[in-house]
Amino acid sequence: MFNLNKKNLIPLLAVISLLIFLSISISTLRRPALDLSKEPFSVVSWLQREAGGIIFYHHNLIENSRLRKEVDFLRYRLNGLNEIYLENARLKNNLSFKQSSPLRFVCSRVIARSADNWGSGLVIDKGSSSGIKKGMAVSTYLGLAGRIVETTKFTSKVMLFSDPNLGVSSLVQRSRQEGLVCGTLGANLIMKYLPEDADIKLQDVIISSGLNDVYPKGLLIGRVIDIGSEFSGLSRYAIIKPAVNFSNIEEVLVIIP
Amino acid sequence: MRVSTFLVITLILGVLQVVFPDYLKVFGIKPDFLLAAVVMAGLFFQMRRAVIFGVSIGIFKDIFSLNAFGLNILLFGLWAYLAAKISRKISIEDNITRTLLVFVIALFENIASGLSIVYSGSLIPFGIFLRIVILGSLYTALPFALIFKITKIIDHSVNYD
Repeated sequence: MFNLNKKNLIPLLAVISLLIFLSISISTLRRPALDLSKEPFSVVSWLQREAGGIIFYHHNLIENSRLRKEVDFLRYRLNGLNEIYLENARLKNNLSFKQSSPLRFVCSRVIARSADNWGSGLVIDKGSSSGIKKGMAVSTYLGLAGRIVETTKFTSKVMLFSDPNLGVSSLVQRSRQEGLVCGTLGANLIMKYLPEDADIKLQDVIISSGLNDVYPKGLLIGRVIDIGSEFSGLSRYAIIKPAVNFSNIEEVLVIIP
Repeated sequence: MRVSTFLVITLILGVLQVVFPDYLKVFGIKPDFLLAAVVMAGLFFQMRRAVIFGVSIGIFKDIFSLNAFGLNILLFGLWAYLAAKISRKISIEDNITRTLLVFVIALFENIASGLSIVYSGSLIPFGIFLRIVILGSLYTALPFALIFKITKIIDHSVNYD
């Protein structure tokens, strides 16, 4: 099947070298290709959205009436919370607490997704021309979603938290127990490096700890649904159900520090 | 098979895989239509053309992946080469054998991609690893028979016209 002689060897080595060169330089190739693909993919994702609106009309109608009721209820809750917020601000001011700077967001639409099962990522339609830089945190209205790993002029690539290559320093909101939340490629996240006596319970809320500059403190990550011990017995882990459903994100907010 | 038919089918499969993966997901797994297109190139085109198509499709897939290293450029070129070699040695005419070939290649592709992530230091639970390797390969192979049939119909109608 494979007969290698001197005549075949040189072209074969040349082809293999070219492929390795292409593989190494893929990050350079990506930039112009992603910029070029912005318009066609934007059109296709717009068509997808419109078609979805027509196909799921009845479902959307029922959901709309349910959401209207929920909005009314939340408005009522918000009024009460506004009072508490203002009171909190007044008290903080009286105690001379350092005020944290308000977050600035760039809202962006998802135009493409990672093409394989071994990574979890998105391509969004805003890039460096909108002030987005590599390393910025990405969230949705529900909670923290990921991080910018690559930007071109008009597009950016987001690595989602479900990707195992991404970790975020986090806190248990109730007990302030620290840990590292990582992706598993599955539907849930895993919180690692919890000590054996960690104060963590089922249904505890997990938030970002703000220990690094990328992720602001207090952004919702998810809830604890299972707790277990590592094989070594030295530490524990918690399975987190993420607040964000990573498989149906349509719009994201890039957090500008 | 006509090159134009293959290119149109591959473009449609590429857009489906990149823009509509949520509609295609089963148990959180999406099919790798692009890999099926690479095997199709290996089965229906001459060696050199098949490898060129394999590498080009690999570049397309790597543009949307998150890895710093373009693994698919190497692997897709290799799969196209192997599929072309095998189809010259053994007669692969029926859809079941072709589907089986896609399954075997998808299995190797998934194992290689998964191991590259594991050896880069990321932790993937063994259950999820197995699920992606086995279900992902099955899910890539099963629609192939349908894709091939559609391709054949389109190709036939274009030739007839």
